[in-house]
This record gives sequence, structure tokens and C-alpha cells, in this order.
Amino acid sequence: MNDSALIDKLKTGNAQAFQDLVEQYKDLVVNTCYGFLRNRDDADDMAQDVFVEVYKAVHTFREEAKLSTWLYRIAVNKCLNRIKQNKRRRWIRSLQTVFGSDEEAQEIVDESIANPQADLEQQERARVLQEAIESLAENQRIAFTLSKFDDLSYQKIAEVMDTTIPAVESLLNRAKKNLQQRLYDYYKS
Amino acid sequence: MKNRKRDWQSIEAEVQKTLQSLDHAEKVKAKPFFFTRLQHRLEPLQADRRAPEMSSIFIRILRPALMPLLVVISIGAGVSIGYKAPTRNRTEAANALVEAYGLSAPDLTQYTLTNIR
Repeated sequence: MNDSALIDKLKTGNAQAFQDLVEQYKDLVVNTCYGFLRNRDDADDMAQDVFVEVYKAVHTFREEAKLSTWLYRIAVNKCLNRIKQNKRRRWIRSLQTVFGSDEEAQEIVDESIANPQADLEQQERARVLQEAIESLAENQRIAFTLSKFDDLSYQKIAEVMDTTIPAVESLLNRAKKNLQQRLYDYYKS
Repeated sequence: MKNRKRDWQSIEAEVQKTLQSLDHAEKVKAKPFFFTRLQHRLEPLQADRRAPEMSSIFIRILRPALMPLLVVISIGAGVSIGYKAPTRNRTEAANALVEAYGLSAPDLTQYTLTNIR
């Protein structure tokens, strides 16, 4: 079933069409969320949130963009909101630690670090890289993550971010330079 | 000088090695029973969608049928109240009017509802 026919059925509340949509795009959405959240369980939960949002909002979808583009946009926005929430929670927990709370601070950890079988060197690289990517400006982070973790073309990234291809190229160049600088500073120290 | 260059080269090599680790970034898939879990989350939303369907049936079918029925019942109630009103009260009221205004008209009761059959 092509996207247009699928969307028409989704708008009428067709349950089978919604299941087809989920089966077709679930891996794409989970992988995108994993690129941002770097945690398998969180990525799976977030992907569920994305499809709940699709279920609620499909009647507002105007088909100005492709269905996959729309899914990417929802996934990216939700992931960034979650990241901001997590940062606030970490900040609050750090305050609680300072003021002597009994609760243990729970870090949000990349799975490659949590995996005891992963090489220690690999773990360290992954941790450093994750921190470096988190330090990027939001637009650079989006472009870089979609390029590296989703293998999206510049054209597709431009559609998802609602911008131009030259703008995406610029964002990726700046992201790469900033990452190199960040990593250089880390390895130099 | 040579040491500095070697340091820079080794740092640069580490940086590139770290960035290149992304080239082999793992692609993840959805966990098993993804759709089943999703369905469970959607159940409250689906229940909410069914409730408005019932109210739309009420609006589209029952309400138009109820309106004429209510009108008929109202008219019937009004007529029934009118018939049940005691004749004596109406006659007394009519005579009071005649006395108050000094009317010489015929008895007003001939114009009241009891005489209309």
C-alpha cells in the first residue's frame, strides 16, 4: 500500500492501516530515537510515544511532506524534549545530592557503557563521543544524528528539518569541526 | 619539537578513530511485541473515541424525534390544564369585570371555553 492510500485509511480510523503503519516504520522510529537517547529501553518507549502521537494527530496530517518525514520530525522533537527533561532532572538530582538526599543519583547511561562485554577502550570512546555530541548546538546535533545514525541523505535531512540542503551541509560541517575540537581537547588533557 | 608533532599526530589519530567508530554505529530494531504493547497504551484513547460515536447517534437521530414529541406533550398539558379549571372561577371573574366597569354586555360566560364544543 502506498503512503497516500495508507494515510487515507488512517484518517478514517482503519485499525489494520494503523497496524500496517507501525509494522512498516517501527524499526525506523526506534533507531532514530536510539540515535538521540542512546538507550535501548528509552528508545523503545519513545518510539511508542511517537506512534501514540501519530494515532492522535493523523487527521491533522496535510500530506505536504512524506509520511516518513513526518515520523522523523515527531521522533526528533520528542527525543529532544526528553533530553531537556533529563537534563533538568539531573540538575535537580545534583542539587539533592549536594543537600544530602538519600536517593541515589541514577545516571542515564549509553548501553555500550552498561554492556560489561564491551571493550573498555570502546566504552570510553563511546562515552566521550556521546558527551561531545550532547555538547553540540541543537540543530547541529539533529543534523549529525540523522546523518550518522539514520544514514539519511542531505535531501532527507533538509526535509525533516524543514530547511535547505546547503544549510544541512553547513550544519554538518560545523558539527564535525566542533566534535573534532571537543575530542582533541579531551585527548590532549 | 618532534615530540610535539608526535603528540599532535597521536591525538589526531585518536580523534579520527573515535569519530570513525560512528561509521559502524549499531542500528537497533524494535523490541518484540512492539505493536501489542502499543495497543495496550492506545486502549484508553480508543474508548474515548467510541463514546462520542454514541452521542452523535443521539444528536442525529433521537434529538430530532424528541423535539416534536416534547411540543405535543406541552400543548396537551396546556389544554388539559385549561379544561380542568373550575367554571365557577371563570364565571365569578367575568361578573367581577361586569360590575367593575359597569358593563351591560351579556354574560361573558357565553364566550368562555365551556361553551365551545
